[in-house]
Amino acid sequence: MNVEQENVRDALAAGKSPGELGFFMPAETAPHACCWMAWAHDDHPEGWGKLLPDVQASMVDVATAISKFEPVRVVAQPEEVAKARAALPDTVEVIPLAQDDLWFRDTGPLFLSDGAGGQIGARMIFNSWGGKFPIWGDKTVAGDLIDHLGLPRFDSPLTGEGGGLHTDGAGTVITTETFLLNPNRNPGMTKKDVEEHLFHLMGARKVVWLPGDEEEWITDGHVDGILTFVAPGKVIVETNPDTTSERYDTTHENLRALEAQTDATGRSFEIAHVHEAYTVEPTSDAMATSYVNSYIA
Amino acid sequence: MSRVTPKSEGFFMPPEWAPHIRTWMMWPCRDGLWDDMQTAREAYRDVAHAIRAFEPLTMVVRPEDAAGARALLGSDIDLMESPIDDSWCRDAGPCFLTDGKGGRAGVSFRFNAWGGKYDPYDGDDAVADAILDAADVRSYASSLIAEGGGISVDGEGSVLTTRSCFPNANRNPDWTEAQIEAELKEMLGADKVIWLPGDSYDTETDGHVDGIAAFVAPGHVLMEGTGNPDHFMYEVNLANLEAMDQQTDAKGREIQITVIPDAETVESDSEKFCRSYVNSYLVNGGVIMPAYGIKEDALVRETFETLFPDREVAMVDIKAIAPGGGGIHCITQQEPAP
Repeated sequence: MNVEQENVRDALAAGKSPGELGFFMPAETAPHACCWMAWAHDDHPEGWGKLLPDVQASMVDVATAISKFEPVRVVAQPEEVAKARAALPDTVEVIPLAQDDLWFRDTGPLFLSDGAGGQIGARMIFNSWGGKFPIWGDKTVAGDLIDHLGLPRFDSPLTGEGGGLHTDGAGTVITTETFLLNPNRNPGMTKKDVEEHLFHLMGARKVVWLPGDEEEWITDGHVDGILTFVAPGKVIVETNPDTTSERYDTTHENLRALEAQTDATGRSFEIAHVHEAYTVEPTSDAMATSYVNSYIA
Repeated sequence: MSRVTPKSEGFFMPPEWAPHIRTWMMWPCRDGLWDDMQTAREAYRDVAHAIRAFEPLTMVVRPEDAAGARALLGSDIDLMESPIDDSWCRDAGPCFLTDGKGGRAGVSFRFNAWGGKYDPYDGDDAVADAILDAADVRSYASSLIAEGGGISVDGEGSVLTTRSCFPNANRNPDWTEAQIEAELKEMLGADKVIWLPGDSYDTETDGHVDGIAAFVAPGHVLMEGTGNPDHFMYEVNLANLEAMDQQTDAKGREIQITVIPDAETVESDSEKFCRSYVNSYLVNGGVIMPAYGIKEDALVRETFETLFPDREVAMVDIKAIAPGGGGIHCITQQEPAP
């Protein structure tokens, strides 16, 4: 740990926030040191059940694909490390840490940068997507990973998950009302309260609010199923073109809301359009049909 | 009578299990109360961190203690400076109210350090208004001397309290029980006050209900059991249980009672050592309960897990707090969401 990192740690301990110290969450399009993922296993009754082998195999496929572009590191429950190690390619590192499920975008930390080599690991309170699941194994994994890596750590009082936040790494954060303003996450908080917390947490200077998706019952309308940044000022927005579908209205309301707003630099968004996988017959009521939910390695 | 009260304006105190905006606490500072101030502060820190895993938390600190509190608490706890005298936010802090339509307010009762047992207490008497001011909500002032630990509410019109406490001459010598009852209804937006005998032998709070009984759902209270007949609390607990038996709440429901043991077997030199598991605290998605390191810990934990299947139960060692006369509930105060 160098002197600067120690100073950051001291400043955080003294009550400063990452935002106040000039830290921000870089855009996904910025260069990565690595990609973090989490192992799926089954130690709770409402878990994957019979699907587990397929889930693990798919997760290995994704990890393998990403590892062709950047190092992949997977956190795995200590008792599961051997199984994960055997299933994953040799180039993938496996780190034993108490964890539960594979949604590491949501359960993992946010990695922040000051643009000059400094790093902070930040986390929000994780309450299983608004307390929908009696699964608490992932409540601490983000903090445990930050501590494991020896990074200065910031704990935001916001309750939420990384999948509900998109940033251009230049001060703009896009999120949804159905997610962060939901009483199942942050009861009583106003937009202004949340915006202040997002500044402190990840350096947000402009929060772009989309309505979100009330019908999406797991994440309550995470923005990472609505759009993604491809460059500052440029996003891909996903819509459903079937005018008879409820998804048509929801996706177009989000699109219109985005069109009416500007980013941290005051410019309107340049929007590229894709259709979600609307012709797929859902095999579960939680099925994701999103293409913007891709990963830029 | 045309007095404007919380009740006349549609406000009521939500139950503890309703969603919180945050929790408020007060940082230990009274000289002479604690065997070791640092140990007490570390235990308060542990409670604060356990709560902060579920919801935001603000610690009220004396200005001169702010830097030390920051160093011990870390960066995740918000600090508010105020010239407080002691560290029991349940009692000195406000009772927050909502109106079910997005409005918020709070009650500031008068505070005299539990019947004048400590001095000074003017800083603590002022802290309820300071907290309500910081929370940016209207304060309704009551001339009743009362503490938040002396009541438990179901949010549906019922209030539990004890005869040994607010009617005590050390607090409200000029008030009849009927007047106290009327004032509690007006200030907490309630329709029915259920009186338990309380605990006249309790030398600290004069039998606060939050060490005896607590609503855990509408129509359902958690109570201290009697223990064996040789338990020094047997008769007190039995009297309270008998008084609760077959009570109905404000909605006319018969109240179901779940009984848990207290931490009878913990050894302590402190006469006021808090042995109550009822004195636990509900947070967003969680229950924060004391761990005394005795076998009853696990039994009570199971009870909480059964009562609150959707909440995670977190246990905190409070052996450095309990000698001060209270537990986790006594040192916390919830700010409910509108």
